[in-house]
Amino acid sequence: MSYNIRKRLKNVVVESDEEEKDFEESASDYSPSESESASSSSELENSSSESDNSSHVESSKKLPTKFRQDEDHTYIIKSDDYFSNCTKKKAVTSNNKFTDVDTSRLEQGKLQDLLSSYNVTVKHNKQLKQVAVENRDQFSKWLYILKEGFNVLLYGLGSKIKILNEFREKCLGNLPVLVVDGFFPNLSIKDIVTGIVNDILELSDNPTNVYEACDVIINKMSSRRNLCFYMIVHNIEGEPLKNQQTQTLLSKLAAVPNIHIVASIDHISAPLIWVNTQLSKFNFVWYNVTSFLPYLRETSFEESSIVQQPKALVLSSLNNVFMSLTSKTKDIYLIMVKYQLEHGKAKHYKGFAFKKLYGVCKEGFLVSTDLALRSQLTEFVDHEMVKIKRSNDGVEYLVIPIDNNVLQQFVDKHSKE
Amino acid sequence: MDTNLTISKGIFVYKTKNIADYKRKDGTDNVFADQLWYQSFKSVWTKVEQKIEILNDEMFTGLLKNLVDSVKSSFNEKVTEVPTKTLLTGINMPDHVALFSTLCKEIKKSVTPHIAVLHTEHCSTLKNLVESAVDQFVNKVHSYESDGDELKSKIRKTYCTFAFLQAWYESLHGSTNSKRKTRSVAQPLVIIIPDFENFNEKSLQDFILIISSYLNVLPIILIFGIATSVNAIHRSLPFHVSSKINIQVFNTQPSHLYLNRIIESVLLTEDCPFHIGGKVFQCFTDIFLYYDLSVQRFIKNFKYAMLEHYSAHSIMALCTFSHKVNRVVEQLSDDDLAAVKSLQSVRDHIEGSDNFEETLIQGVQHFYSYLSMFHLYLKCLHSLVHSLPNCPLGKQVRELYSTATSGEITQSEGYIEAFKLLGFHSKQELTEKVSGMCLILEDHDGDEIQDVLAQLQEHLVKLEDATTEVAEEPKLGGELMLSEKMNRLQLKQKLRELTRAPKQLSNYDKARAALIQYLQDVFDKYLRHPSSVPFYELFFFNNLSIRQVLLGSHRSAIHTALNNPSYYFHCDCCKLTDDGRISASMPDISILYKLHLEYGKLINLYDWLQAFVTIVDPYIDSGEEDAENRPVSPEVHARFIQGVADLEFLGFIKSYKRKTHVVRLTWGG
Repeated sequence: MSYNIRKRLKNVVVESDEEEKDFEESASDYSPSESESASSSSELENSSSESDNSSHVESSKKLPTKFRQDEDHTYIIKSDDYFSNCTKKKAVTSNNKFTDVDTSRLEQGKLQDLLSSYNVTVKHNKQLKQVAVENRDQFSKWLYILKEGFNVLLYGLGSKIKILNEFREKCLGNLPVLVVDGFFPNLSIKDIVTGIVNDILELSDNPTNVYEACDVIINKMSSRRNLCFYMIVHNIEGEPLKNQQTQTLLSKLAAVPNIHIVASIDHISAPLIWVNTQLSKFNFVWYNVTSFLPYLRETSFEESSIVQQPKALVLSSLNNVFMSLTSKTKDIYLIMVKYQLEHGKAKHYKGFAFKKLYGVCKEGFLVSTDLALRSQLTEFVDHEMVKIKRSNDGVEYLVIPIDNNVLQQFVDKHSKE
Repeated sequence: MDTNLTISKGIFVYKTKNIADYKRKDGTDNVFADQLWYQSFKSVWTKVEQKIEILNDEMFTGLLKNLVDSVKSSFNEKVTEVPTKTLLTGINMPDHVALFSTLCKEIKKSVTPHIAVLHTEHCSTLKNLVESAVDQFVNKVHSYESDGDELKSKIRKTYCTFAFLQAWYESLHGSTNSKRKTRSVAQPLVIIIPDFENFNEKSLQDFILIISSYLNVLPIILIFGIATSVNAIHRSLPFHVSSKINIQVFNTQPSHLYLNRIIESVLLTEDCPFHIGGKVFQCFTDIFLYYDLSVQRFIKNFKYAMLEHYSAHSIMALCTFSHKVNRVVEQLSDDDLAAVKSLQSVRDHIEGSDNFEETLIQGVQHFYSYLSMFHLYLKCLHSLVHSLPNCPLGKQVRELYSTATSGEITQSEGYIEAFKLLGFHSKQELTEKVSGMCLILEDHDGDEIQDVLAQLQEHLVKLEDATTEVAEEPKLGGELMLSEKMNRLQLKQKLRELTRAPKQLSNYDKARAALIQYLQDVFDKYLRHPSSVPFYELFFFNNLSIRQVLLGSHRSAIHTALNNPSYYFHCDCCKLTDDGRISASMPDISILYKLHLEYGKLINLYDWLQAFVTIVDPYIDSGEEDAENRPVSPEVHARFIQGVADLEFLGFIKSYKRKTHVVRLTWGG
């Protein structure tokens, strides 16, 4: 509870005068009465009583120090919540369907347009800018810390791409920098190591084994003490990087005194990926750079995000493939689509049995042999328009791995033709 | 907004010139290298680092002496099993690097130049393992310069087999088969595996079998570093393998002893003018004891505190060695001097003087002498109290230091308790302890110390002479009183009164009380809280916010930002009276997060969207009925989608097999 009071008081102080707040932050480093246990009232006194010696505040401006003093909050899990939330046998929700919203078919591109036209930060533009400025003030401190053998880890809500890019442009303009997008799905540690060996260090031979390549880098760097390079890793806990092997290698690189890493994390369980030895090699200093910026780029790769499946993309690519097919093949595919639309809602829908399809096609004079149908199907499978599954009893089932409402649109379009 | 907006790759290199051109120009100097405070920091830190290194070497060498000796003598006799040394290292993995590097150094110095250190990551398969081991033996002879021509002399890794190793070894030392007698002279091959538990069991078993078959031609010694217990060997090696090795176990000391030594002989000495205050010190030791037991981490934390302290203000340059103070003061600007003047401890204790620089130099020098006394008497106090029952002040010097720097130690409960206990000591115990204290004092010069020493010795003599006999007269009086005739009640009353009457003190009691009083006076004088001495702020770092920076509070930062954005914005509009409320002015993601807290395990996206719409885009017009079916504006819809994607990215929700729903991954707000 005392945290609440302190916080409230802090806000009072902050509102009263912007400069005074600035002052309080920098002065507290030397005021002896500033201690964690100090009651909230003394905190107030502290800031007001020392307002007479503003001289050293100004002189300290060029110096990098700045603690976010307002971070004495802790996150305590209430175990009761677990029982209130997770003991219910079955989760009860309503039967409304998200797809009922007529605008649910938002496309990726349109989504980005909409979001950029609507300024997400409009609500707290001023405050957000203020927060960003505060974060930016720490740049020189990061540089200072990095040079002393620590690595910087940024956390806090909001995308950190912007601040890291700013850091790179402002502070590392002339230095060799490797930027790694940890959220990029096809990334691998091999890419990173190759990037360093080939592009940063310009070495001719690049061992195929990543560990050996890593050793080459380490040897190279430790033989040339006056050289240094920076790695900026967006989302070091990202899906492609989060395995143990990658983290071990990264931590080995991080431990080299002239390789500096600035990384960011976002996932709430991110700190769990490191073991003791790795953490010690990383030697992170944690900075909170909460920015509230939406994770636009980071989420644009996410395949699973059901909400924004780029349906238009699927539909248009489906159309493109479809247009290039022969008329008979088109008909075969339409048969399958219609069948799936009709029967797909059944509870245990397995797919369209191959035999059955063959029968239907034969009736329509679309194919004459079993083999001919198969060769048509291969084409569909290659374009991922159809998947072949074999059930337990050996029957082959054909499934179209596309959402039903996309298929519906597809059918609406093509059955008219 | 940024140049790398492609979505086709994940790695981007920024470089303005060839790597060769980066030489020297953009040296690895710190950005603040030219600042006075940085130079002060550098000199202090270098000194501390050196001392730690020396201490490490000393300590580990002592510890590893037995191990190295036994490695030396392993092949003195004919062996049939692979000599294997296991080193029980303890679970503080990060510290082992220093331990094993000292071990390598020692073995290289006194036994053999042939050492291979095998790490887990290089040895996923048997092939890699053998290659890596042989490669290290064969190629270590050449210096490890990565320049092109040097590489040529290296033997390709694919050629590194045991047969090759044998040929190489025989070419170096002559065939061991032919002249078996001279084998003890030859240098053995040492293979060190620092992290035994993490090793691939299968390949290690095969490796050991191979080694044992080569044992008659190659004198190989294995050294395992084991973090848990010897059991680990037996668990991972079956009998047919473990019968091939001859295990000898060596212990290292636990890491907290290591930490104590570092603290006592490096950090809390005159060699390090920078000190961390009680709270921060407590925090660091807590991190050590409850997180990782890693001394390296402790040292790194200490270094970070130093970085933080020195960068706080240019006047921190004054926190340097005493012989450098004059030079630093000369270089301080007027602003800096004013800043020093305005320090709390200076304002409290020093009146305005004409020549502040002079006062400053004297004051700082005074602080040094105070500090050295502080450390000395802390050690004295430690020698007195560390063996008391229940350890009211703790067993370690570090605990005493933490108490003494967090508040007045002489007023602390533990201190009072400790002296009470000292007051019950027998003559022998007390004499022993005080003599111990005298021994500590004897090592130091200085009039004050000699004075205290003389006084103590005087007290000791008195203590020695004092008897436990109690003066006679009062005793008689007591007996007289009892001899009167009285009834039971009166007797009871009398006895009660007698117990209440002050106990008669023996000579020894008096001498003891005097000694303890004297000790207390001494400690009162020297163990004052540092903040009562002017210029305290220059030497003590006391900002507990450092905890957040060293440990990170990732989850709580996100939690606060989502639940209570006004915390970061310092705005009125989002201020909440209670945590459950949602206001439209909050950022979208906070609104969505708070809404999602209200659901159970599954969240229906449609409902979630509707709830979101009612908050961000409330329908004010009169038509109440069609509010439900009102189309959602694409803008709001887009915001919703982005917010949900953000929450998914953060790990609060994930998709569900029914596409209309998402699953919550957390519980509780």
